[in-house]
Amino acid sequence: MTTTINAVSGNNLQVSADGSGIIQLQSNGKNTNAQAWVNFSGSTVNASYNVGSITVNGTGDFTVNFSNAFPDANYVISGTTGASSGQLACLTQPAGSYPPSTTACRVQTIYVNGSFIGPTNVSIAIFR
Amino acid sequence: MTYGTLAIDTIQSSTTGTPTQFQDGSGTQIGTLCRAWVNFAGASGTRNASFNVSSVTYNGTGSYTVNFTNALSDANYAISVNPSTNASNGYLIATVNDANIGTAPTTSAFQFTTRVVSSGANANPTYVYATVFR
Repeated sequence: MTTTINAVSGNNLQVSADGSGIIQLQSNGKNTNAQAWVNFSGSTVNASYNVGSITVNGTGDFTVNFSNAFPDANYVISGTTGASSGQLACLTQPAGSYPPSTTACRVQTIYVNGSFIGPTNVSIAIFR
Repeated sequence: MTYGTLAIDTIQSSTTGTPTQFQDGSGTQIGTLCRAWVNFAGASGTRNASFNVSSVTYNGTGSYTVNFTNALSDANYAISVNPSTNASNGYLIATVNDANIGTAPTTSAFQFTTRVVSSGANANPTYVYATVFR
């Protein structure tokens, strides 16, 4: 049983439930809390919410598998990656090759020169 | 302690424009809700899904303005933007504009630019993901 909070006007809040087990705090019918988040190192999940597992596809190439599927793939992916000292790195979603799905999203961690990195820590939050 | 179940219709903060806070048993704030989020197409600014975002203005290749439905109380909010790849340019990175490049964030909107990591040239991601916290 899930409880949801929903706001009907302005920035007020309401609570409701959809039975999926995912808490939904809403404003004007849109969820305002993260629907999934994870901190992971390789395939090891350090802490998470609504993330079943991390698949390591290769160095710097990961699939985040959700415990409960989303209604569509139009969610927001927010995240950062660690990097070695002195290196500039970023986290990206390879939309052309692996677009997000309702059950999982692929993310890659890369240096600015385009090479993949295997970071010690990656943080991701999903909003929808 | 026992865990209770919250069964109510509305939670309303006591001050206009001030979000409801979540606190632990000691009264320490442990989080607030996302104030705005959007998933949009990088080639056009067309929104696929959003909350508290009325529109995304496509200013030109790799240049966007996210416009809020309800303005924030000030411009000191935290912005996170993650661009996806695109079909031809490989990896992209996003930078939020400040007063030196474009327009600094305001209570009603913020600008950012997406560039190719390897060259620094502006480019459109397939998808752009942005969140705002305050």
